[in-house]
Amino acid sequence: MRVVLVWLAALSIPTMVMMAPLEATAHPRMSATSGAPCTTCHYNSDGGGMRTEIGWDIQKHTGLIEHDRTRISLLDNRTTNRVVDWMAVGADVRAMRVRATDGPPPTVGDDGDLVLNLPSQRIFPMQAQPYVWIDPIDQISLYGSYAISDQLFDGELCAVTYSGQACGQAYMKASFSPRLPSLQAGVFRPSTGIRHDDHTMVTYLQDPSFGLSTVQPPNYAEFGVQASYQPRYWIKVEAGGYRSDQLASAIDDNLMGTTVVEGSDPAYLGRVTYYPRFDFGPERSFFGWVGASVYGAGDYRNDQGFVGMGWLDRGAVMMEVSHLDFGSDAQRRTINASTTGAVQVSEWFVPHVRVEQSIARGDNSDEDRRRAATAGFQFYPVPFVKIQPEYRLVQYHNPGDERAGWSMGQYYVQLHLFY
Amino acid sequence: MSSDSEAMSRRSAIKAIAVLSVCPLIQSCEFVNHDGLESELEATGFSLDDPDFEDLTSVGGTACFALGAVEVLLVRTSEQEVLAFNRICPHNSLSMGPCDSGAQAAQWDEQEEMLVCQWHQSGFDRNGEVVQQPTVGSVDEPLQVYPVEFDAETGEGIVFLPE
Repeated sequence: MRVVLVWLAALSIPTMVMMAPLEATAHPRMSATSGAPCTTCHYNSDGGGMRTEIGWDIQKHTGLIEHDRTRISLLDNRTTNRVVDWMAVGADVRAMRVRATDGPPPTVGDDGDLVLNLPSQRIFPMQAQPYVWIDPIDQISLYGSYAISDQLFDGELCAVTYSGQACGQAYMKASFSPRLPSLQAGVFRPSTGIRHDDHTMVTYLQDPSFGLSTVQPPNYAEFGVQASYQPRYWIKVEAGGYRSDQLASAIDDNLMGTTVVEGSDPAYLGRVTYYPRFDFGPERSFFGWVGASVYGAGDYRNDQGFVGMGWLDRGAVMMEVSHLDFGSDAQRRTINASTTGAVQVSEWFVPHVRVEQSIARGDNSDEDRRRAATAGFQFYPVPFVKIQPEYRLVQYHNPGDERAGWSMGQYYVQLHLFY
Repeated sequence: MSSDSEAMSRRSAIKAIAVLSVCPLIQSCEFVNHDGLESELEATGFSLDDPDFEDLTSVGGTACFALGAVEVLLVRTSEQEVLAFNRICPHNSLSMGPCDSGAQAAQWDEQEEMLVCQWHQSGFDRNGEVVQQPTVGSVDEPLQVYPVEFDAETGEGIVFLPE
């Protein structure tokens, strides 16, 4: 059984990389290197997804070939993605060149050795997700997004590949005064930890040996209400209550040996973030965030701690630790940790590296471990277009897997068009 | 000023091209390390008297079976027959075995005579050929099938790996 899980893990890495529809990937280093909260550039309170007027305008001027040299006259007089005063629209479209899902299964060579076969590289559509933001009155806003399936013409309307993914988001946000908490209600992602929207990361893994076992995949969203209060620029407190349908769907009861979350269990969130900043003179400003969140439902609870520190327009280092406890019946815990470093060589060229580890512990686990190291860069050739190649090494330490050194290495590249 | 900025852009472009040109080189670094996962190839028998295989006593029953490192799914397709498939569905490389944690057991459709993977409903005939496409994406690769000798009277069988 362990060997099959090794195969699964080895071969599911490209699978999961490729097939994840994403709510526009959040880049937390952007907040750390600018000293601005995510909401400066994104409508979502924890980043990702549709951009605000500021975010849109910044991206209009981000690219190796800047907008005024692209000769795209369509955007010349445009300073925002609002189509009318009270409504803005946007969209993300993504494709990826990666190992295909329908790769050959493991085979046995003539010499009797097991042969693990990498699927061939191919270009794969990942996401087509339109957004809309409406301001019916100053104090209330409505947001909606929808992940359109690439099987749309085969009758599949929504891009849901993995358990826990929602078709999109639809919520109302009310903010009556800066001195009062803002409220968010509807279907959205609870603000747990740092938002990455990258489910190749180990942050929410429930089993290190099983690559597809992410508790909160990209586009994870629940129906609920969340309050956010930031009385001073340096402190933010969030609390929320939600349904747990997607969480119940994502947590693998077979793996746990018991039902961990019933869809009817209420989910809860608490999150505190401290935003320190240090100014040592011109171009020597440092920003950061230090925070913790707790999120759970039923027997599941995820305690997360996160730290980020950025140097204005230079780079950032971010660390996050998650402790996923699946309850006394499941007798299983998973501890996931990641550290990411990014250097802003230019606004249009940002290399990054990331190291990660996931460890499963408890009576109902085999002390499985996974380590990964990823290096790549974000390259913006022209505004609103990003190319992101990455190379990833993965190492498994599982009972039954005696492989020494790295278990696999893989290269892939993502093309992201957004507006 | 203008020429400076143009020179800067030119230098930037050259840098970007240099960086991107490294990408194809990195592809040659792709690998899957299978050292230590080698299997010992030998045909291994099974018996319906064994509790691990008792589900095969009825038609449609399935059981897991390992030959060295190769994981096999056994399916009782008729009174007289047991088939052996690779347990990894070639659609998404997910396990179809009833014995693996996190897996969804494949089911044998007697009427259509096909094995249906419960992850995305991919269907394979007795030779492993794809006869039903999955509900998500598509699958072209056949499912690997292993020869089986099965004696319904004694309930004993042997599975062979292909040469």
